[in-house]
Amino acid sequence: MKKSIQMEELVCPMCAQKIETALKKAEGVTDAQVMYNASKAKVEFDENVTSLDTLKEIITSLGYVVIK
Amino acid sequence: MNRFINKYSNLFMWIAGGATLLAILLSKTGVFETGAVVLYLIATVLCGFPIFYRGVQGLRFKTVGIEVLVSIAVIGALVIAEFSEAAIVTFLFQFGSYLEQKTMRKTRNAIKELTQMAPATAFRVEGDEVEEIDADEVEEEDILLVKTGNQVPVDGNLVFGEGYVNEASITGESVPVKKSVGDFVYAGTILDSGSFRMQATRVGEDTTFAKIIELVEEAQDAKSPVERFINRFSKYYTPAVVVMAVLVFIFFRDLDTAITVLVLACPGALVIGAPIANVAGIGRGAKNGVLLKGGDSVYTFAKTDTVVFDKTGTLTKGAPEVIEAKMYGDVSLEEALSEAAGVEQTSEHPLAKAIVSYAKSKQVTLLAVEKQELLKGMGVAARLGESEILVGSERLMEDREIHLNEQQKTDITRLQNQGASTVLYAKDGQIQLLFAVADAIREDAKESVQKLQKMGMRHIAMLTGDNESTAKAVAAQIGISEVYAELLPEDKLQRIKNWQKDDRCITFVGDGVNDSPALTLADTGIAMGGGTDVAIDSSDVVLIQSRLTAIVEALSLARFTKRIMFENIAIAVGTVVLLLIGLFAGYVHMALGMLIHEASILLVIFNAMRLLIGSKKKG
Repeated sequence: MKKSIQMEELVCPMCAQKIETALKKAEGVTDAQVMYNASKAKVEFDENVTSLDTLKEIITSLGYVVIK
Repeated sequence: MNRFINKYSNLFMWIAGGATLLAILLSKTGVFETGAVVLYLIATVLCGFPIFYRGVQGLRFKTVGIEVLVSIAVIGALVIAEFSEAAIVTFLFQFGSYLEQKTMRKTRNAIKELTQMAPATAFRVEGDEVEEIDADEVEEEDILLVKTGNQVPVDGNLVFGEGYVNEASITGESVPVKKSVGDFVYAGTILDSGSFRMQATRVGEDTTFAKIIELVEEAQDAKSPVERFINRFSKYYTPAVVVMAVLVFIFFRDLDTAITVLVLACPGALVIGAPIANVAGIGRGAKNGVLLKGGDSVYTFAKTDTVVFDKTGTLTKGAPEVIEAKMYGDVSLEEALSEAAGVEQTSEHPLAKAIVSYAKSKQVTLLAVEKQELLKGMGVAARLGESEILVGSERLMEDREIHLNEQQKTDITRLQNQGASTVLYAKDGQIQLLFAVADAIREDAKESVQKLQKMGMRHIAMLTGDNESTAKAVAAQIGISEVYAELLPEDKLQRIKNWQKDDRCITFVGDGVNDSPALTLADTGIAMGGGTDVAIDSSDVVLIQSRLTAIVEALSLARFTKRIMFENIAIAVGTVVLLLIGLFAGYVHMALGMLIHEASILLVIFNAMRLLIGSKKKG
């Protein structure tokens, strides 16, 4: 399943990298890409293992605000 | 922690700014020296903490960021008791980042505006009921109602009603387009007047609108070779600056100069200069229906010196149409046309289709005919009451012993030399009509080629699988002198390969349906075909409107973007060099250095914004 998560504006490229690494490491995630300029994360994951909400939670716990 | 910093760092910055100002005033009076020092320290901590935090974060990802340089410099300044310098530098750095974010947001906005145009709701029709639902909930084949002023929620076809649709959000063209039953409408476009029902064909992230947004978002992050070089460079550059500062300290025993080096050599403007140009350029293009697929595409496309066009469907419209209908003898055009098209409407032949749509465009009612016979490769024969009707080639006429007169023969030769195919219509042994059918050249083909020549293209060529005489006729009308006809698809590839061996930078323009190998092989591939999936996937530069002049606009934009990128790099490198010269000449200290440094960052952002405002160079 492929979903995108819109975050509040990312202020540094490092933040994008951080979120991307965290998402990629998460269980059930096959691929993750964070688009810095769009402040958007695109995640491909197995919905039997994890859920969109869990992934959003990961981003929130890193200290970034999820909009949608 | 991160959220805390993001939330309060601006507030901290303003407090620190106030504290620094107050401290400067205090120290001028010379009375409350200690008070000033305390204020400076408070300011340094408030502004310095977020910088320090980010610096450490970066180190965890094995990158020595600008924040690390500044952090070391500030700590150094505190060590040698330069409290005012420390406070001013941290404040300026934070204030600079604040302005940087504000202005960056402006440049990123082009795409934001697009995203906000995404439709929110839809009106679904079920039986007699109309229900308002979220645009995301629409499913394929749903019937939707769109009223004046509404946004088309998904891609689909009209099934009832009609109206004028403003397609600016997709094509950049703001003149409303008439849509009636059977026509395709894009999600995100706005119904200017009228009202219709449509059936959803593509929903959610499959709509053209969603795809465009996705493409632009990815493109803005895709780096050009120059950017990749800078990224690699700064990876070694920042640690090198630290080493340099240490060396200055060891050799000159001067901590003050050493930490100033750290601040001055910050590659801030360098790191931001090239990407910001791409973000602005790509955003600008997206607004005008020109999608550049990332920094790479911008860079390569700007270098183009050879434009190669495919003929059918690219320079021509790809759909044959009647360019001339000539009457012989004393007959009414309407009557003859209605009979000829009536016979042709049962045939699937491209020429027949062209005649049928020509008749329809003349608002002629097609006559229903009985008993017809398809004569392969020659035409159609039919009976109409007592009359015998023939529609087809010269051979068909000769076959039925209908002889062409001199006038008819000259007409046929003339039209064929123009690159047209001819179809004759005869009733009861009398030739009444001659149709010339040709694949019409796009209206803007000639203009586009001329403009490309003016822009300094060294070669403009046409490749086609068509026969030599048609190809030459078409090329001559457009003004292309290099023509290669009767080519098989692999011949086209070979031609492109040969040119590339001569170090030419090739842009190939095709219809995107059967040219994919050539599109991929060329340095830049452009598929004409609007927002179709094939066109989007196979192109490096996507033109939303099937308009040849858009190529000219895209090329101007790519060149402009590349120029801004190099200007920014020059500004960034120039600033650092000047500052270092100034430092060793003794004019520049830490706080002034930081001020100039931040100014250079803003300068590159403003420079990039020129891409958004647009200029006469737009083409």
